[in-house]
Amino acid sequence: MKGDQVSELIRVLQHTDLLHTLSVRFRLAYDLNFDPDEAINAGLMGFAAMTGTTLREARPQAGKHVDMINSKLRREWDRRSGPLIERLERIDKQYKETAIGPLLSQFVQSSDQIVQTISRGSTIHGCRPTIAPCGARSKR
Amino acid sequence: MQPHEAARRALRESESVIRQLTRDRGYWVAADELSNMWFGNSFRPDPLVLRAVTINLGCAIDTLYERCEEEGLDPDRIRSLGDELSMATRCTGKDADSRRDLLYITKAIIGAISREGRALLGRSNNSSDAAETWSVLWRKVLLEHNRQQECSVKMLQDQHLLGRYALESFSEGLALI
Repeated sequence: MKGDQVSELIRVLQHTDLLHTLSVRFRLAYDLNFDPDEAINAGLMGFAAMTGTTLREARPQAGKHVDMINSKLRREWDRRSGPLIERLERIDKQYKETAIGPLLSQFVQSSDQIVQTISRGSTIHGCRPTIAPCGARSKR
Repeated sequence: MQPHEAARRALRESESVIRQLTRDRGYWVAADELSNMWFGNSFRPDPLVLRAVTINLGCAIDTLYERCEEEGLDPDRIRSLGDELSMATRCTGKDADSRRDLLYITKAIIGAISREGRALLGRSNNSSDAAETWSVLWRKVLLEHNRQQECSVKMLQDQHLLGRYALESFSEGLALI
């Protein structure tokens, strides 16, 4: 990257919520396929809240309701994805004509491709690694 | 822009230890591939720095928090990674006794990235504001990552957490994660 592109990228990160938006989107995508063996994830949090139980109480029960939890996670994903994508598109458009514009567009597009892959439950060589700062828990 | 040789050595050494102490080889093959897919085509960063910042550091921090749950490691010890960034920047990872201690190695990698990031931005044609702004952003991202992990650990330990927030629906539960 050239010096002016680096400065511009720092400005984008300073003045927008790009990283936070990506973080929320990636976290939801990772948790979209409920894994009852994980210590904590979105499905378990949702189930505990819905049943009014602690996380420790919820964990063994949640394993018996995987299909229901998956369907609720999918509904939340459908509901929340639109506004998150709109925020990313707005940032992309805002900086389109700047020195960082083309690289930023490419980055947002590749982020979306990876989110689509993860949300389908697809793996890379059997793993679903997370990437800081946008990842949540590492999936071994 | 290339990092100094000393920083490269610190990142290489920490990579070797982190990858031995945390996940299996298959995980790292997948992680490298994913990292390249995401950042390699657009920003084309130095591969060693890319691996250090995106996956080595993230996995080291995640593993430390997993140990809170599995081995009773105190989350407050890990919080110092973000709260005491100035201390981390003085940590060189040269103490032989500490070289295989994951917490120490994680501080060393944060130190190397912190020093080198500032130096690189200072050396290039950017304004001095860029180095300062980057430092603030880097600290913020680290703190947020740690806060998220710490929150997950403490949620499991806290019997009254959900009651305290008066959560009733599945959707409300997701807001905490």
